[in-house]
Amino acid sequence: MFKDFFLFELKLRFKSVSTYIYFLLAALLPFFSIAARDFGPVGSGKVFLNSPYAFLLITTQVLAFGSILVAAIFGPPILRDFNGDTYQLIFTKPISKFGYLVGRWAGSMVTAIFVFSGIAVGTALGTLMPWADKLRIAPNDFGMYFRIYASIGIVQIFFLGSLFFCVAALTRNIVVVYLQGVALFAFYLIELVVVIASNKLERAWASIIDPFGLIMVQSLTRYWTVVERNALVPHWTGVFLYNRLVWLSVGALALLAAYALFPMSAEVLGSRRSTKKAEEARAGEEDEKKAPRRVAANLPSVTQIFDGATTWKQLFSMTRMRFFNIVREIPFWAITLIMLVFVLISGHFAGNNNGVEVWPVTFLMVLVVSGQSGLFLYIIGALYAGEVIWRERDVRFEQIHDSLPLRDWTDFVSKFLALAMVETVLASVVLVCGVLSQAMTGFFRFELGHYAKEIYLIYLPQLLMVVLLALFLQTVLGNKFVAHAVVVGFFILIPILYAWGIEKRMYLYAEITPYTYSDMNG
Amino acid sequence: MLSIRNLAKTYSGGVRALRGVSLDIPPGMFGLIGPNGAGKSTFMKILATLLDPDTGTATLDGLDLITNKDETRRLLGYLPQEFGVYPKMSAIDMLNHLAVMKGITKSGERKEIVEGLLQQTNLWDVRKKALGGYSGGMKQRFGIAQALLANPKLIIVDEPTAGLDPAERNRFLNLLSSIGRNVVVILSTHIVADVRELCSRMAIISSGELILEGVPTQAIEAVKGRVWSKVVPTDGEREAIEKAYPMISMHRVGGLNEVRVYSETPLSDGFLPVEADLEDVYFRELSRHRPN
Repeated sequence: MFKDFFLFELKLRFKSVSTYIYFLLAALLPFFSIAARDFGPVGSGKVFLNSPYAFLLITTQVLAFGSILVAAIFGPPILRDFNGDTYQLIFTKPISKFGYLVGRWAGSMVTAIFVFSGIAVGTALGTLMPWADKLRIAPNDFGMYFRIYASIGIVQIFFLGSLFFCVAALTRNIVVVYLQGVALFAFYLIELVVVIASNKLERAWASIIDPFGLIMVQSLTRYWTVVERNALVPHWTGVFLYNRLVWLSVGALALLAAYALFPMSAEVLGSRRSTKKAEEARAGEEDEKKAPRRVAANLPSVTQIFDGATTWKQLFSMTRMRFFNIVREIPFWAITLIMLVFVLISGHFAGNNNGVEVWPVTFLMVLVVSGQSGLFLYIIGALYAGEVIWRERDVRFEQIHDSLPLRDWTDFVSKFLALAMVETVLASVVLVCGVLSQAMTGFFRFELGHYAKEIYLIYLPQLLMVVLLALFLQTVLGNKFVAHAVVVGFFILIPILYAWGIEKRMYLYAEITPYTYSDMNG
Repeated sequence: MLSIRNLAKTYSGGVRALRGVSLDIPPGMFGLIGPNGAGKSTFMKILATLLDPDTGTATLDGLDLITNKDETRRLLGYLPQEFGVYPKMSAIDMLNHLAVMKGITKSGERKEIVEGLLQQTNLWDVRKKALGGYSGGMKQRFGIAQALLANPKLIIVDEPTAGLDPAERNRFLNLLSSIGRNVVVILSTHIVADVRELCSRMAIISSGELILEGVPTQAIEAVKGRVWSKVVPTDGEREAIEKAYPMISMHRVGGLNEVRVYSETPLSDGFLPVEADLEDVYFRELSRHRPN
């Protein structure tokens, strides 16, 4: 029984494209942290970009920010039965609770371990890139990668995954699963603020209760020398041991709770599952009982107007619908939330210039918030360019859509405008985050004009160029995933072109001349 | 009047979906029946401006449907055989949006037609629910509502009653026939009874060719008194009949085989005359034109 559920889960996961996309996402950050020198957590210096220290940091970070992926892997296996209403089929069969729950959990566990092994793969691939800084790359030590991945990555997957699995099994509501992830992040952020505010070097307790291990790893490696950073792998002793034990036991408890409290009966599950579906089913049933209101139809007559004003109204209505279709999606909110966390954390440290505390003046803040949010807004732009181009086909509405009296260019422009609206709103949120971060550090000289200039006249047009490129590629290439790959390839191409000496901005799409605005020089 | 002349379409894979169909369709309900893969959907997609035919013309009261796509789409109401919905949109928002697309820009009129259609299709109580949560029947009724926006002059509905329960089916067919008195309505279906009950004219398509066109009652009249039935217990006897007579159809009735055959002269040998219905016409025409 266990074997059946386990193998079924694996088969389903490894057939699904999303597993491989998650893998690529996990590989992305480590890849760039090696392939693009100043991208990663190590910074400049003599520490190897793929040293144990660097790999430790990147693994911890990917698992922390990738907890959304863990939720996306461990949430569905139980919810699937309830969203698809197959629970009535499953729970009327003589299945064992152990087989069902543990089989699906174990299948998700293996999937997640595969997905996050992308960290090591991304690192190794990064070291092979011809333009990478060879002087700062040590030979790939896969044994070391594995030891660190096991003690950070797999432990995190076990703890986070079991927790998400437990919440999904007991509430059967995906929104609660994501909210729980947000709550964990909030817990971590509060802890971080407390640690920084207390300004003490003693961080043992903070390290032990750190759910993502970020504070723990940071305080653990704080006094490591360059040589140590290039050689040491943390052992399961002291704070490291206690932190791992705390969260391993939380994971184990969550798993036990899921097993103990999950009711194996269709009736209980049906009555306790999220009420929304049930309500719709009820609405449908009531609807069946009702007699037809009127048999003879008398539809009001309408006038159709097709002039310039109608074209604008069509464009407006189409854009609005596409905009709402994007912002009503859970992945959109997940990416946006992670971006906010990223931006707020780094905004908090914007005034910290290589250990020297300075005022987080606007030019520094803009640099930090636009830099930290950039990747996310590019991802949203490229991802949803694919979604809007293929939306009608994906939801199988294309036949009705294509037979509407709507000009082709109206349709295309609405796609671009919807994405532009999304990016403008997000860029504005980033701007607000910058101002907020300044206020939180007690700096109140906001230069809103400067913010507006940088964000709306320089940052946003770059984003929109990328959106246009992605829309173009999606349309021309005719395959969503191929086009996504080409867009990613495009971003990899730019550093390659640089390395070849092609630096003229005229030839590089959506690239601007690097510049530094400062309060001194203007 | 919709005039179709010599419409042909071969797909890039080499499938000849339509082989020169010519038809005149007056206002009213027009039923299109035929087996799966007969070319019904291709025919309807061409009229709905989604496909370009290789040859042939289609004109509606002087308007060339093939070349004036935009004009055609303004007066078209189309319900495809299979369609999905934007899962996060509510029915009322989506209908309002589609009404704007169809040029109903006066907001008072738009409100009236959208609300009227939601009432007619019995979706009023669930109008604010996300379409993603609709049952199959509810979704089908939403599809019907969107096809009837903007008082279409040409209504094309591809198997509209699939997935509806008998009560819903009745309601829909009533709605369609009361609208369809003055405009051209083309309805494709597997269900022969739909055509008999509703359509003033009909056509049977098989293997991309038109094999019968006319008034359903006249078509039934033409075979009246020529359909004979015999109940035989074994498959062997059934096969013997199949060889000897032009068989129309075979049903199982209470574990026995009821065989219907066509004969212009009276048959003895245990055959009894039966009341012919449209199904007999349909199966006879199909078997007559079966490609050998």
